[in-house]
Amino acid sequence: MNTLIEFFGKFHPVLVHLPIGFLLLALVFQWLCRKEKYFAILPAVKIAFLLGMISAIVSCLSGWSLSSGGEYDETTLDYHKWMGIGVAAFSVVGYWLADKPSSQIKNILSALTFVLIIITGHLGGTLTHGDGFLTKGLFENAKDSSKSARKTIANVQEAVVYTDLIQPILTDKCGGCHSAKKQKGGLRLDGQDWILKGGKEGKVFVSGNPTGSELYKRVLLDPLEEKHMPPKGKPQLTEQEMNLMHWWIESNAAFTKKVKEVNQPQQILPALLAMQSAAVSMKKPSIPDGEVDKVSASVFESLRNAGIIVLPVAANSNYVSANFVSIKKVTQETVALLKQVNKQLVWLKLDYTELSENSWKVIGQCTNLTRLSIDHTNLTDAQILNLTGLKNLQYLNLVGTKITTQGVQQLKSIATLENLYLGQTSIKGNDFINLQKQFPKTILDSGNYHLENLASDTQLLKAPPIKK
Amino acid sequence: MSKDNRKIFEEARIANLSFETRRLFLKDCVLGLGGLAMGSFLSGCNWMGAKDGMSELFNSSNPLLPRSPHFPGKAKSVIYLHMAGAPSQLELFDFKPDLMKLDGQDCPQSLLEGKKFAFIRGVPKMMGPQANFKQRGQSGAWVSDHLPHFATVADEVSFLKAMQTDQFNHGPAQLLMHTGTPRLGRPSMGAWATYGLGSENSNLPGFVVLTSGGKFPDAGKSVWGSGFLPSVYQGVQCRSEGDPVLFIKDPEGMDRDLRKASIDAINEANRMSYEEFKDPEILSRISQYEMAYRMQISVPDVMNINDEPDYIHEMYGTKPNKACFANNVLLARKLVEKGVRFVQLFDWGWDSHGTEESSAIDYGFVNKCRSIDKPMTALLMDLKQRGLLDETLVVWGGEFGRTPMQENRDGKKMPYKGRDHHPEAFTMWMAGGGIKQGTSFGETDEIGYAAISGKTNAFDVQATILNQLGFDHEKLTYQFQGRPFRLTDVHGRVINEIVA
Repeated sequence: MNTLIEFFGKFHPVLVHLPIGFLLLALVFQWLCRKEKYFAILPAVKIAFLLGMISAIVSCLSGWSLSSGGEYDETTLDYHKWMGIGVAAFSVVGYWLADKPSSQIKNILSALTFVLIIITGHLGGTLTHGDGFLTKGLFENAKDSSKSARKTIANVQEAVVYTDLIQPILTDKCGGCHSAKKQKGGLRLDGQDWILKGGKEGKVFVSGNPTGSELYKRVLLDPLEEKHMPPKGKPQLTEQEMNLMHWWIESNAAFTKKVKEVNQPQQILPALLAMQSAAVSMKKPSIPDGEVDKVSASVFESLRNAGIIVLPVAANSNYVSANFVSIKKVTQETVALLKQVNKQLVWLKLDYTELSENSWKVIGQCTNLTRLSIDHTNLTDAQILNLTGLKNLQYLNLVGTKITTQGVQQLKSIATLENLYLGQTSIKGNDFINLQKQFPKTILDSGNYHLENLASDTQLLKAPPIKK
Repeated sequence: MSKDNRKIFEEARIANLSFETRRLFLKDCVLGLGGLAMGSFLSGCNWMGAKDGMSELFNSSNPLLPRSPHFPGKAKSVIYLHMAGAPSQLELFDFKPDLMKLDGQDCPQSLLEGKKFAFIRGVPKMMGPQANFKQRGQSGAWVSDHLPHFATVADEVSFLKAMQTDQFNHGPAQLLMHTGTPRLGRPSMGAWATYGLGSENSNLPGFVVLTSGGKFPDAGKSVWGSGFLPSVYQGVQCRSEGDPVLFIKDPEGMDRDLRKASIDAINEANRMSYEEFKDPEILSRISQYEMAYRMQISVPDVMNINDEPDYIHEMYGTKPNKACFANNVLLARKLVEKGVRFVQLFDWGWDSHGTEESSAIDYGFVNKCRSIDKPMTALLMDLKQRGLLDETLVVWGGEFGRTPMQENRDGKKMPYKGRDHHPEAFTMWMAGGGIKQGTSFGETDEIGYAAISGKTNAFDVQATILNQLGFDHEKLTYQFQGRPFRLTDVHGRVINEIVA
């Protein structure tokens, strides 16, 4: 019996359209037949109200059985329920008044019914599609998914596996449908108790058994499969997040253990480390976190007129990149123009140029620079001191410059440096190996790669002649 | 209804018809047109704004002006190495020891039922891998002995081992790979990239095409065409032999000043007609003339590989003044260094059917491998030592794969060993430009006949390339024939498994 009622409840979203249609039709007819021309449709008003009344009551009943599933936001549901019952009540009154002569009360009641239908309908929509579904995307840009960048963890070994590593993933990727707001499938994933309780189809979490845990299994399913979670079109879990989740369940870390207290297999270490190292994988490529002012159109204009290719790194970013590749002879004056964007400039390409002392100073003032290509320039050890203030630098290309080991050592103060290219410089052999030891966090590239000459490179294979 | 009533209706109908005048017809048409125009005012479903800054990509007065992508891209340029004819994955990357055991046996009926092949007829024989394989580097990627140099850099690349396509003829398959449809008429990937990003170097085109191997790809120039995009975005085909671009030199008797004067005069005339007609295409034409004039100087300069030091020539294995893959690859590196967005290489001659020695899987094919092995390895190393691999995406692949069966054209035994076209599984690789190092995604079955997991296709590759350049492939669109078009049409998934 219960399943029958539940089945009936599933028809609610279809049935509700009947009273909406019938009652609106009734109201329109009622309004029209005040005019003599349409007087003939007066009998239809009563019929429309009767149909509206019946379908409204049926809708109420089906709605009630649907709501008992308990997957919806309760406050909204409450309003929707009572207003729906209100619509049904008004339709009864409307039916009774239909053949009575027009009066002020009747008009007011009609207007109220109309308003009530609209609001109830909208609330119903909110329940199925989620809060703010109507206006979403209307006034704001599509939400930047990377905005929800997670907090970084100072020391991942001290972090609590569930609270610091897993819950943020669940909140981010599952919270939309499985939290206090909405409980699809009767499942909530925003707390220990809820996760242990599971959903309508049973337990989702079996400690120590990832493939037996629905929570992890659903994520692994083919994305086209209906049961795959998160559903198609929603942000998916990254490989790293899946690894973390697998490890969390398998290692019996449950809800209170710290990372250092559980077994850490080789494969999980990169994922753990990534959580620690300034959440590199979550960050956009080499763009600082802070906000800067927009570069004004006139500044863009002046730089472009000088031949510098300068443009925002992305359509919605205030940070800019600059490239001097189109300029034949780069002068001190042209480089000085960069002062106007010294806060916004993050990527700079000035390769194959001869720069003056002043120009190096200007570059040194662009403190937000993350990528700097000054390969094949006249850079020497003396000028590199100008660059030690670039505290955000991640990529530095010094290929083909006159830099020496002493000069490179000046860069040790730049903690963020990830890649340093030193090919075609005088730094070779042991010097290079020693230098790499002094830059433990930076990948140094020595360049000067060679490929062996193999006989096969130039020889051609010939087939023996075919005997006919 | 009474008879009278019917009469009245009939009368009314005729009276109404008399109003259907020619004037009314025209009025209706105008209203209809207005309605259509309204559609474009409201510009689709997104009419209340949601500006992503990409709405006005095409700037007719300077169509190649550099522009920002949707999000900061990890790759600034792309070098796409297309092996036209489709190289055999079974002799290069997809190692199938089990296929060796079946060597020489009849192909099981289950693999042939309901399948169509380009040339295989009847029951062919299975053919084991015609190469020795080893696992290379720390990643343990399988690379055959045909690519001894490339094997040393296997840790730099990500393999896509379960590529699939639905085309088994070269032309359509190449079109699908590069334009997102097996039929003619759509813009190529390079054209889309240039449309989205413009050209970083105002003296060079944004999209350059280089071909080697003696023939053009089967699909012809459409694989680097601009389709319905403005024609300035089509690939500029350069040559590594003779003049880099045809007619780039001034004709005899015309000096640089005279050329300048004549271009100025033409532009002046064009500007006058622009004043009169205000057609933005005229501005586009003016900027094209100016760019062509600048290119007369800049292109021969950048296309001249003779200035490169000897060790670079040795590394790439170039052949002076000849059109070959090695020279093209070196050129590609130079172009990328100078800010060209998309360099497309086609190397013809990989169609190893076994009909003659040059297409034999154990002769011609091996020679083809030797001709690309050192150059493409040198490209990766050279980009790396210049700090450019980081921001340059290198893609390698053919248009489909080859069968694990030996080809038996027309049901007969062939003079040489060969493999037929095979759309169900092939291998591609990508490197640099924010792609993971030393990974492999996708698997094929024990005999390399079909992809079984981690399947990817041309649309996924296209989506990934656009993603690395900073584009959401679903949002880079162009309005044509009343609807927005995109490279991946309604398909495509960014292959996040290989994105760093």
